[in-house]
Amino acid sequence: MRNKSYKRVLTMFLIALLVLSLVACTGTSSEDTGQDTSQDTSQETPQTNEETGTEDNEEPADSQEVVTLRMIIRVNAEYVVEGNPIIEELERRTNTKLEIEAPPINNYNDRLNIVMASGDLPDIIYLGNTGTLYANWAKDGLLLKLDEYFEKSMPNAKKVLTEEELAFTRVTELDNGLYSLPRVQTKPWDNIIYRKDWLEALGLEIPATPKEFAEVMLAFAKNDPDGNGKDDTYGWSYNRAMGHLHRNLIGGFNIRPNSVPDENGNYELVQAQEGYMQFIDWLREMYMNGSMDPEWYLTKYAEDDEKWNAGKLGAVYTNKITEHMTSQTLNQVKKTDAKAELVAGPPLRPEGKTVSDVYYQPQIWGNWGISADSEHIDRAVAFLDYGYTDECNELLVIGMEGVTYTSFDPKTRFALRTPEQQEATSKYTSTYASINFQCADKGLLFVPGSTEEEFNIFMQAYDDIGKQTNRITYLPESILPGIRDALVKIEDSGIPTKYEEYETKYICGQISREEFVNFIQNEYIPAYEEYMNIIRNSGINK
Amino acid sequence: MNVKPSKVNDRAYIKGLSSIWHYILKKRYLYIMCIPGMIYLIIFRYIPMYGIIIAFQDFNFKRGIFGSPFNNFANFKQLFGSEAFYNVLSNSLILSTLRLIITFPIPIILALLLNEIRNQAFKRASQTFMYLPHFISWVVLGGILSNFLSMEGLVNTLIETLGGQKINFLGSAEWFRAVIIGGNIWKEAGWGTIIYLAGLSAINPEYYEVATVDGANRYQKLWYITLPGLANTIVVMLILSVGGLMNNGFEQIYLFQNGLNISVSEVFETYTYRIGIVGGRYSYSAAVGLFKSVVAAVLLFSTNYLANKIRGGSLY
Repeated sequence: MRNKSYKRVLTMFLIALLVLSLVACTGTSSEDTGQDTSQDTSQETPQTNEETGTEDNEEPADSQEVVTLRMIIRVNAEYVVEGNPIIEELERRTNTKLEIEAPPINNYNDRLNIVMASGDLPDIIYLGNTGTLYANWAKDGLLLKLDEYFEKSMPNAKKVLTEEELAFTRVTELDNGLYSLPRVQTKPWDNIIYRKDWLEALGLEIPATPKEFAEVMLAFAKNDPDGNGKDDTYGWSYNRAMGHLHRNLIGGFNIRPNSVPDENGNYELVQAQEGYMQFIDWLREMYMNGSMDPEWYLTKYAEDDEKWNAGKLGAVYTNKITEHMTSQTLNQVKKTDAKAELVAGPPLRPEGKTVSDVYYQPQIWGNWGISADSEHIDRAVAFLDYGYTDECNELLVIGMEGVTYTSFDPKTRFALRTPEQQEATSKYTSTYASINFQCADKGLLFVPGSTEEEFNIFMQAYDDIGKQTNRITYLPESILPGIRDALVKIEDSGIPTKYEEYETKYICGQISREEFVNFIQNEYIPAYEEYMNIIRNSGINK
Repeated sequence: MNVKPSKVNDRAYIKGLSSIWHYILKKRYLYIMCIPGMIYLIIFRYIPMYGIIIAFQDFNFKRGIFGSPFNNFANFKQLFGSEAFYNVLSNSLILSTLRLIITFPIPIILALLLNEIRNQAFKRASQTFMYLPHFISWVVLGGILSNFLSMEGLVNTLIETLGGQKINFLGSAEWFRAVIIGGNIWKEAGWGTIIYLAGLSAINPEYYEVATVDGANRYQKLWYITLPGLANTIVVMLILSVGGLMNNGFEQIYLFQNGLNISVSEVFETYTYRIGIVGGRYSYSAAVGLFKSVVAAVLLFSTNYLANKIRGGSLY
């Protein structure tokens, strides 16, 4: 009898456990996808436009009522949403309560795609995409058309954004309407960062041309630059995920983007240009002679940074701007090697030139949209408009006095920080959190560094690299109507996958030059004929 | 007394129902324990099935699943006209067939070996260590394997020490399948022994005693008693494995995929991820998924039918 009741109790316990595990596995999405927060707000009205002029019967933008706005944003892993005093201050200023979803940065696009397909969109969305997906979202009516709001209700954004910048977020395939606003950036120059201590140990100069770069990389790999007696260093690691044909490198081979014509007005696919094979041969030579990390092809996102931080590499080239001469990059490397020093080198240029031509798309760093089904359209518009003020972006990127800096000079854009404030800066502020990453006068929003010494290091690098860089702005082909359909056909043919395979194999010496050239000439370039014809017919960038 | 056949059938029907009900009542706790799993299956597997309809539509985010227009099988026409698809299909089939052939017998062999261990403490400890990799995610295991198999890793260091030449396990198409299958064995073989050990424990020990009396050696007992006793379990597991033939798992493949092995590593899961989630072609990737499921269902039913024909016993 006792045995029977014991079994009964055990059975019910197991059932309860199963039910509990079922419930636990079906937790809300906010737990899985990032950090959610809900903050207290204040009564202060937002410092935004006074006009409301909207077609919907929403509450007016300067209403005293606190409104909850949901946002999905892309921020770096170090950024803290919950308990963030900067966000609390922003809420106070805009009279809002912000519920922020911040998915992991590496998977942001995946999460965004899912959110956009879910039917339950946040009010404000960081899209980070002005290509075909963005056009589809606009066509499907997910995004609010902003033209009228921009004209009547967004004076701050109107003051800052130019027509050229707005052209980037107009959906030409639909009605040329504005379905998002660009985040424009004025950033320090792109550069390649080198281990200065390694260069000095080997008596080398900062390279500026592909030939010099290759020689320095070989020396880093073979001549024991860290002096530990071990053969454990490489020159660099090619980061495929971040920068295939990265502008820091290809300028050295006169490679133009697809949508930029040559001096005769001819458009040429990158892989059809003379410089392309020179570039690939250059990579192959560096791989074969051991200058390059032999497992570069395994990196998916930014794992080369990990090898750099571990003191295995002498140079990093992707997504590095002169800002990285201070704070982040230096500190990480110094944890492994206290003697590490860094120096910024310019993007590569051809032999005989003194300035690097670097092609940039309009300095757009993503775009911000508003859900067409938002219940607080006017307030979302007002919030976004406030985001185009210096006041808002200084708050989001530089922070607050006493919390993230001791003093801030609006003229030099430099903030003096204590080590504790530096730590708070990493947690509570981020360039990724900015709505617009520039001042209203198009100048730098901030100068990186926390001490006078770092300020001087940055300014030195900024001036040096600036003198050696010629920034050429161009419009990418992704904004052209019909380009998406051409891309889908190419994708279905399997050519992009084959291209990735052939190129990687050629760089790693697994196939011959003849085989690779044969593939490029006879399969790859013909597959892109329709794609290039669309570009040619458009006359873009002429 | 003449009783009409329909009444006889009705009575038999009611009697049958009554006996089923009594059976359920008798095993009620087992059925109650099944309920959470059934709820999970219904909510997360059966109900979402309606979403597969987008494979036949031009899915529009705003209109949703029920509002999007049908597109006259355009996604399937595109699918079967796509060169990339056939490459993905062959990669998926080759990898999963190899995986089935190589990995299927291993848990059986391990279970048989474990069954022979007399020292219970050692047996339990071995089982525990064998099960452990199953609970570690592929991200962690992938990182460990990558470290072992990299050019500077443990395996290549060992090869070099023994006088051999380093092998680029992670960067060659030739070794990709071996790495995947090897990793899979490491992670899942131990866990797979559970079912077979349960099957072995159900074999009547008297058979072994009688066989000992008759002078049978270990291998004869294995061949004439153990394997026949385990046959039904093996058949059931084989049917389920064949049904899952089209599944290669996403995480493991994605972690080891790179530019050098992409010609053999692009399988349905990674292809669907790339075009569906990354590329935003939801309808097309749903069509790919539907094709995969139909093939899996056909394989499952065929294997079940064959098992029934050959052995007289099947899953259903």
